[in-house]
Amino acid sequence: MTRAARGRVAHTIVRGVVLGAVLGASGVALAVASHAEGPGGDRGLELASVAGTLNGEPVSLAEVDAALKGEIRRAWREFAEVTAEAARALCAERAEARIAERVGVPVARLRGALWEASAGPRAARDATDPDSVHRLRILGFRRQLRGLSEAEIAGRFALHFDAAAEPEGEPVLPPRVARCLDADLGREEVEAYAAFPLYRRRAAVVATACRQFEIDHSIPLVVRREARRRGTSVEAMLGAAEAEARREPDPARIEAIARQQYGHVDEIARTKVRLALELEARAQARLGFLEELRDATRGECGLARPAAPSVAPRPRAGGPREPRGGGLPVIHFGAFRCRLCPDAWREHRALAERWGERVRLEFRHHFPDASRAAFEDALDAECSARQGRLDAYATWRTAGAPADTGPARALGLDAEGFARCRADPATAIRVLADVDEAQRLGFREALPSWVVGSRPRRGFQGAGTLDGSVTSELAAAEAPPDALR
Amino acid sequence: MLPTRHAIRCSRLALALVVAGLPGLAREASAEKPARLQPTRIHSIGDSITTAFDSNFILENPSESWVNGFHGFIQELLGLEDVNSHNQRADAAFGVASNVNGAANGADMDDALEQAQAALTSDPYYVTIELGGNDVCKDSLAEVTPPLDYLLQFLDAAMVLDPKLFGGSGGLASGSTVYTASIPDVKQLYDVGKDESGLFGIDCETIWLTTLIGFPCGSMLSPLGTEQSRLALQQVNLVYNLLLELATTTLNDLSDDVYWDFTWAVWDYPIQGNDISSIDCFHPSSDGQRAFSEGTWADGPFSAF
Repeated sequence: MTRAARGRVAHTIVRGVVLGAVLGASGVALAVASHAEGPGGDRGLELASVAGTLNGEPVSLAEVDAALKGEIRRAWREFAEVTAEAARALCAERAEARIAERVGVPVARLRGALWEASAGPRAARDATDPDSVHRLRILGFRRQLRGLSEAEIAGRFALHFDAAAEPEGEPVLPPRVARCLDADLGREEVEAYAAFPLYRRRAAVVATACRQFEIDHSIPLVVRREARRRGTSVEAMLGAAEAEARREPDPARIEAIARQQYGHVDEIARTKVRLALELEARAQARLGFLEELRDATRGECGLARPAAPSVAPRPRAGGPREPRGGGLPVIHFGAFRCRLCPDAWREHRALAERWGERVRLEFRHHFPDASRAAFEDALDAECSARQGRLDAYATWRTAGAPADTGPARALGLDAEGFARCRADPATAIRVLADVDEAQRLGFREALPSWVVGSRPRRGFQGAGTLDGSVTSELAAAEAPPDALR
Repeated sequence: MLPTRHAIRCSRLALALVVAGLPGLAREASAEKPARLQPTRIHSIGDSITTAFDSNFILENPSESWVNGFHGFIQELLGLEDVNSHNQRADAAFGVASNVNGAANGADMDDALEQAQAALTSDPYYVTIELGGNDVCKDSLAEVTPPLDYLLQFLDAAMVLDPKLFGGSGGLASGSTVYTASIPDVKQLYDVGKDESGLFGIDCETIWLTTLIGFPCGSMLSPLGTEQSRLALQQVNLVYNLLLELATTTLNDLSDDVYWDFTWAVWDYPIQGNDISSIDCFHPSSDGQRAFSEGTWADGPFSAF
């Protein structure tokens, strides 16, 4: 094991340590950093919070933030932005529901009408490349939807907090986050909507801060502290360490390396090699200095990682497609032709076989809007599912379906019913709603992804991890309500 | 090339070597530098991180490159992410006339020389360098580029971009900036990606199993590796970065024409599950590209804009 590796092991960060005992002993009156109150709690991390200790001395998040040129505050600013976006998105949904109610139709019908209207004249559609037409249609549909809700909201949306304020801590949301139309949006509702993006920022603050209690190259926090202790600047301190170890490179070695590297020795080659050897010696000297510093320093990060994100996928309009069993909900957000999609379908079937009635397996669409092929597949899948043949469709499509045979013929479906289903705007709306839900949950480009119980799992999952998630979620679901998860 | 000038430069470099560690003396050389040019002509030197390989769709996603990315109607139409790249930031502040992504998938520092030569053809004022991930990531530990070779290759490229440093002529316009970014901490990527019960719910180990059949970065990601070998490789990764920092500082002190800057922002960035491509569990995702852009810009010479 290298010296650095030994040092790293010796100075492993103790994450999640509550520093009450340490602080109690040192009598330091700083707020103890904790996410114990978690999302929706009254207090989050603040600049005055203790981020950890260096040789037993408490270090505040403010000091970490200063060492990192404001990086912690930058993450908190994003937190406020995410919250504001989530509130705005929720308000748009509310507006859509109001409009639908006013015209006396369900939201899905309203969306379906917009979808039909976005198709444009057939002549124009046929005259252009179908991929572009599809993309323009999706874009047009989303814009119309946004325009509709924005017109409804106009002047009737206001945040109850200042999203642009310079944060002194993790922005704490008020119980009423925003005014939307003539009612408020509550904190719980907004936090639930943006559970994953908010979790990401909380986790980023902890990861960023904790990394500063590791001591390797020039972790700003530790090196700055040491320089301050010595009454000098970081540059001067490191420069002195390098100068101490400086030796004139051996001319014979310079010649040998130059010859090996360039095949000849001239003044430029010699100078470059000499410079390189000089820099290498300085790097080694600096590493040596930092290793000594490491040996003399014990860093402990006291910040606990925020609790695992818990998400609540919204029920699918029209109910789940071909649900299996009545147990733990497991949702597979996927498609059919992406690189890992066939593997995900294999896991999907294996999961159903292994867990039977203990899981309720559901498939929802998740693919990039731009992909016409994926959208067409999703319509086919949706209409195959209507005839109870989703699995058969997935098998046929992921095995590389022949281009000249449609699914209705290949799978022996009722062709007329299949065509009717495909032409129904409600089918497209259900597909697009799935895609929106995947985006809201934070899956974005991660295709395929899963939600096991309330745990999001981004990207492809192997059998072992899916089984592990199901096991732990089932255990949590079966535990007494007051048991710790 | 003028022999006398060449001799003067080489002796200045030699003098700088003698006084290395005494920054005050070395910095005198940069007193005569012209004003820094605005980053209106951008060129990137790099590898698949800069081509945004697998960041969103399979293969390259040029609009999502942390340096050269762009986002307009077409990208919105295609469902591509807006990473707010250096190009976009520079364009908003100064207006960008030329934006060339000169990176190549699989490139390592050995390719820097060729990429630097190509960079000169676009007459850039702002050149970024992000190379070294593929020097760390070899099929096995034994194939990893020795740090001294890595450094010499970087200096070879530096000599092309700023030949006056070594007594030559040509190169970048006076006042140009060469901004070198640290290499990501590949061990950190491994640690995040293998944390399959992790809070971001990613499962990279299954994908990395393919390192056994030719997936890149076997030296770090292969399931046959040990923690000890990975820590040793991380040390090499760190040494590369230290060398880059020391080299750029020295070059900046010595150059009369070019501003040489370096940032640890990429190495320092705490990688999280969403920053890793869900396609290959190796390259930065759109979120990762956005984070690299944000961190490097914030720590760079134009952060005030």
